[in-house]
Amino acid sequence: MAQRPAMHIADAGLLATPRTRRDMLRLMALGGTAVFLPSMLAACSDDNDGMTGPTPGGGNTLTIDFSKGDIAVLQFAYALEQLEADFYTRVVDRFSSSNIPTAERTLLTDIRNHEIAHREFLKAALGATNGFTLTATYPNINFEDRTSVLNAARTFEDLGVAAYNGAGQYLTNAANLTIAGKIVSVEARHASAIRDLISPKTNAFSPSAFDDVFSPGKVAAAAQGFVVDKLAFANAPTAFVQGPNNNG
Amino acid sequence: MPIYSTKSAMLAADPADVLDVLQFALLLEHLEADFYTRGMAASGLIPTEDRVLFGTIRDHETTHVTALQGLITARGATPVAKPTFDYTAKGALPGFNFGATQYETFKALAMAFEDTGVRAYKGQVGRLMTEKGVLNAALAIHSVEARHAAEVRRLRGKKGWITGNSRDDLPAFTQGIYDGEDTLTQGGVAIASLPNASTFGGATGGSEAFDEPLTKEQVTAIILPFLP
Repeated sequence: MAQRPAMHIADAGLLATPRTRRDMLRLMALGGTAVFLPSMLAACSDDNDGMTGPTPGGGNTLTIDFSKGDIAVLQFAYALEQLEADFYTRVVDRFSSSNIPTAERTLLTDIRNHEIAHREFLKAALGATNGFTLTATYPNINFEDRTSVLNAARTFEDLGVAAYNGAGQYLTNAANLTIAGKIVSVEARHASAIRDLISPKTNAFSPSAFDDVFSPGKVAAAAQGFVVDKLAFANAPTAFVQGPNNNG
Repeated sequence: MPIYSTKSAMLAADPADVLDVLQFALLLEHLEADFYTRGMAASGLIPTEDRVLFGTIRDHETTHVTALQGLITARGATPVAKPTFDYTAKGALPGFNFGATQYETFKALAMAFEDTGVRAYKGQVGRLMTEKGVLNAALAIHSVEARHAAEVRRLRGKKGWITGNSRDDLPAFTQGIYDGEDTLTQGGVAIASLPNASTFGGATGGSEAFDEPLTKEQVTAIILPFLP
């Protein structure tokens, strides 16, 4: 099958500096979903009450090109880790005015640290050529309210677990699969802890004997609700092998 | 640096190798399932408020046993039988027999087994790369073991994650479960030396953020005291 032309995230530097309006239009026409431009919606950000923000998917297209192989999978992980790190950073930054109790602040600060570590690791591993900056948005999250924060955290952690579990099948280098494994189990520890804060000593910490295994497309669709950039794939794999829960 | 490689660097994963992983995982799941089944059945051991928690874990481990047996049988092989385990760990935990006064030891063993399970599966996934269905099953179990581990650790008043190579308050004979967890180099990246390391707690956050694999040989050494 012929590969359709795609602008890569790595080409963002070129796209950011169109010389003429005609160049700009030509670039934007390429592939339809494959153009990555500097954020134009940043100026629209309005986060003063923690409940609003830029429209999800209203920004520029951020394309993960799976013809890059393992690098694309790691870019996908990098996008999710940027989202998680940004979320918990906001949570911690709002402690002074939130109703989250002290013990839970320690736990959430630990998680923030882990997500930043994941983000910074992937940033370093991918390097400038394959890196990018994702812009998050939180239309329905009140960062000053414990219940709102924990419910959102549960969503992010469960999604992270399912995302890594589902991306594993696309990694071709065993070392990269191991690295994904090193991260996913920490995400699962987070998910367990967050879920237990919401529903202590129930079966909530691990609701199934098998965690979900989600396709990148399913994960991106769920993550899109918190991402300004319009997430897109190029050369996405057509085959996805389902996990035990058969819901990916 | 391996992380950049898009060339296949798959380990040799012939069908016999996949079967070996499945049998190894089944042995571990037998240990866990049997441990929690006995714990839940023991009179006066698990307090009422913790029985949902441990009942959930028991059910999951039992389901893992059944699933692995099914995968092994489907390959035309015979699943390894459940051994008679020695939960005194050859005398390291003298007198432990799921007695009503031994809940603290029970929880400590649960933490040891769950943290071991996470590392054991992580060490084997590279051998499953050629069989995506089996890989997915292993990954779906691996992260559930991590959920269990965090829950048991937190029940014991510990963090849900592992800091450095600390076994916390577990007895010294469990140290092999935590050796190497303090790794700070990931895919060639020196985590604690990253430009923004101070924003994630340096070596502390950097070690907690990554769980580490164990080889089959390392895991075997860990569970050997529990085998007959």
